[in-house]
Amino acid sequence: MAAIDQTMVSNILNATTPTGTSGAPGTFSAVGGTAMKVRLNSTASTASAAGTEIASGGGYTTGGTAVSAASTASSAGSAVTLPKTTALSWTNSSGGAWSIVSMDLTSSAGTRCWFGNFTGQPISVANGNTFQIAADAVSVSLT
Amino acid sequence: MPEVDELIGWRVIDPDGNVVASGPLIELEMATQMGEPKEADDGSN
Repeated sequence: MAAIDQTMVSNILNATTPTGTSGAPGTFSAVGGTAMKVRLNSTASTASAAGTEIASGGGYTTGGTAVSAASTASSAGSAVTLPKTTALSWTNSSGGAWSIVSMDLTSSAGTRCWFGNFTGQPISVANGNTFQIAADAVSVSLT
Repeated sequence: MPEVDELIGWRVIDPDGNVVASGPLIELEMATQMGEPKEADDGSN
């Protein structure tokens, strides 16, 4: 499954191929310097667009939730897992049920990098219940 | 050692702390291996 945003695909390709001046590598557009976020959606994400984000308020904040610690860096092509150490949790106090289908890994400013649809989606989270992504549950890789 | 898809990736927890739903790990991967060569299109429909 291609789970990388198409703009990010071009970013990586351009930075590692002779698309720059006189055949130099192109420039990588930095994704951002503060903690990345996990965003939750009620519809599927695709390479071209994120799904429809869960409504803000009632336990969810637009843009998603920032990870609290650095993941272990990839080495020799290994996958990177997140969130490091601490699970991400959202407690639904919206008054209605959430229907969660997909997630995006974004910069703090919302630039999409990776996306995925949850196995078992749509996931219904009743009012008062908590949706949790376990520590190291998300694995990102180029296999 | 459990299979990867038997590990818990996400869960829904009720106010009493009971897990009411759960799912496997979430893998976001971009395949980089070359695929099988496609057969030539012979132009037929």
